[in-house]
Amino acid sequence: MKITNSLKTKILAGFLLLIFMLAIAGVMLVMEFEKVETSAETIINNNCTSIEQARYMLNAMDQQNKGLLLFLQGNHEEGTKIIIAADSIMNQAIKTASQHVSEIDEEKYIDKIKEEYNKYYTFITTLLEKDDGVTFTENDPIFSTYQQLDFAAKDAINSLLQLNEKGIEKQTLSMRDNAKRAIMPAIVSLITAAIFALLLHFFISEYVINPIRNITDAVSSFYPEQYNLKVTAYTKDEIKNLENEINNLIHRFLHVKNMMDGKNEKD
Amino acid sequence: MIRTKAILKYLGFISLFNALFLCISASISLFLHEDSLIPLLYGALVCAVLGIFPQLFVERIDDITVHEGMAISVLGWIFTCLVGMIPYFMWGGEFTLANSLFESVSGFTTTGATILNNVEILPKGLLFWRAATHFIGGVGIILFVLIILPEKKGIRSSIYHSEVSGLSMLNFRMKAREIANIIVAIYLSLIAIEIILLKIFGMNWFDAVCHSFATVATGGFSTKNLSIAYYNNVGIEIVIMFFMLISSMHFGLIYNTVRGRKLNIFTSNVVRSYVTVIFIGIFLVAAQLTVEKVYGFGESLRYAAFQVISLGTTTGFAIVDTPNWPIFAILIQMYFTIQCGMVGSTSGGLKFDRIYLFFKSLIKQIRLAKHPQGIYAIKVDGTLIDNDMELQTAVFILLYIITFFVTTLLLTAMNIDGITAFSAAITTLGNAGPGFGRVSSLGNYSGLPDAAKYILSGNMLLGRLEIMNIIVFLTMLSRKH
Repeated sequence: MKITNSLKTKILAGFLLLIFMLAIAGVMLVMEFEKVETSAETIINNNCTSIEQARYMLNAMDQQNKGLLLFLQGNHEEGTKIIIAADSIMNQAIKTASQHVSEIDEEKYIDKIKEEYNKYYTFITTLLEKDDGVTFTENDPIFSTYQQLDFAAKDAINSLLQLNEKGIEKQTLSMRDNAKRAIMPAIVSLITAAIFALLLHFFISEYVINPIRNITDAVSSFYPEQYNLKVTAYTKDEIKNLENEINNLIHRFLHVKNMMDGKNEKD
Repeated sequence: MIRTKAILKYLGFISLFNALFLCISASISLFLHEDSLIPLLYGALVCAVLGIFPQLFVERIDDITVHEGMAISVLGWIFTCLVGMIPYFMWGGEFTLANSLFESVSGFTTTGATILNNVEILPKGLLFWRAATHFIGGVGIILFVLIILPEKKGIRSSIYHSEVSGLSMLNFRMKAREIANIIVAIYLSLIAIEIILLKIFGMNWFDAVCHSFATVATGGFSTKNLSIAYYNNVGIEIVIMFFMLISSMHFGLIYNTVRGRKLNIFTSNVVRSYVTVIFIGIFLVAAQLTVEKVYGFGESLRYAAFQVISLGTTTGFAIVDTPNWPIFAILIQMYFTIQCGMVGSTSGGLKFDRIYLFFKSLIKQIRLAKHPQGIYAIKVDGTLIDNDMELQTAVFILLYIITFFVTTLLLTAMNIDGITAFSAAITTLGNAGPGFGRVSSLGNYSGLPDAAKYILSGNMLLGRLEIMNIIVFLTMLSRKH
């Protein structure tokens, strides 16, 4: 009996296939969950940090506006102090944002912020350095220039904010899809394993249980004049071997019986 | 008596065949670093495992009975559609359970109806699998398996006769075992030629392969949201029209044409009638569109030709959206989704040959009514049609009408409007694809309720298996053996 025909080999191969499939499913599950983890890390470490820094920048610009207002009202020392402190916060926020880039072209957005802020800050420091003090009204061209520079800088910061908010949305959707894809191998594996188990049950019944039952019935209904068991195991495996050996046993018994009958007759 | 293990063994072969194509699709995803790699690879793994397992246990079986052949055919299709949905379902996106099943069944039955609002967002690997389902389904997964199985007594003819209708055997003037080889050879040749021509006319290789699979299988899955309208290229449209038409003709007649035999696509009365009806349809639709000033004459002819051929061959490609066309033009197209292509082709539906035979039978009955003692015979391309064949044809037509009527009723019960329900029922049963109303040429089936998608999936399978096979199979199951 070849090893490939052995029932033991077939059943073992069946279980090994099932284990292999479940193992691959497990690996795929881990890979997909790693993607989910990466997406979450990107959101937390980069996108959220960039949004936080953008808010600091906006806050810093508001502080500078407040400082400028104090300066224009005559409180030069306090105003200058606030403006310088806000500038420091702004620069720190820009630096931190530069270290947490995650979106496409995000560096360009940060460069734009630097460019617009530099123009804005240069203009303010020019105003602060004027010896004769500064006053301007709404119709003053200096006020108009100031407003344009202020809006331009804030627009650039808002663009960075929106970029990262969209990035979070994209990452969240990606996480949702990856999570679903991570679960899918498990679900499909469960269903396939159930089908596999049913198939295995069927094959074991067909190729192990039924032949054993048939042989059992044949043995119990055997009568001495019947030369062979009236059953045929058609597969070349352990069950066939059992059938062959039982038939051999019958032949040996019959042979012995014939010998004894012959001996008795002589006697 | 049906031996379950015999059926499982051949379902295993079918599963392994699907695994092969899933591996090819997964290779594309691997090469392009796409996120559909794991769904496709896992689908291939499941198919491979389910395919290998029966081969381990079940010994070689050479004497498949007709009943077992029928069971293998029916269950093979159902099983293929179920495993085919695994990559879609695992990938996610628009693919819910109902959507995945619908798309898989639509692919394998070469219907070409889609639930996708955005096809172009799919990774290339998944797009290839989608096209591959047409390739496999076009000539029939069963026939492909027959090609690779050893030639043993009973296997091929038992399975083959449940896959190919008796009517299509008329034009195959050779032994049954050669027929499967001929069908596959013609099929592959047409695909190869079309790929080259589409590439010449401007498609890239990937799109050319996918569209060729869909054309010759008369399926209709495009890689673009706008279907063939995306290309706006008359050359591509002409190539596709030609191959749609050829693929809707009896493959035996195409083979005879290539071999220079007497009965071929030029001498066959059935083909002549079929092409004539198609051209009449094109003329009527073009005339209506011109008269109603929907388009100018040139555009009317171009759009009418493409749409009529597309629906009449059950392909389902589109170069224009048709829901706002005049009702006459829509009804003409609806007729073609009922008539469909010829037997022995990859087209679905009622089949032109049956309608041809029905009218010949009608004429015979009229003559008999006038001359009751007369003896009248029906011949189709020189072949005498016996009464059994006439009866089978009439019964099939009646069954077809009942099936699409019941489906329409069920859909309208779900609050789907009449035009949509009627056209969805008829085009899915005929494996045509796009209908009218909400499921028009450039529309999709995503807006329908899930229950409707399950019913239409069943409808598509009924159409592909020519209804009768499934009914016979179910009666076989209900008998006690």
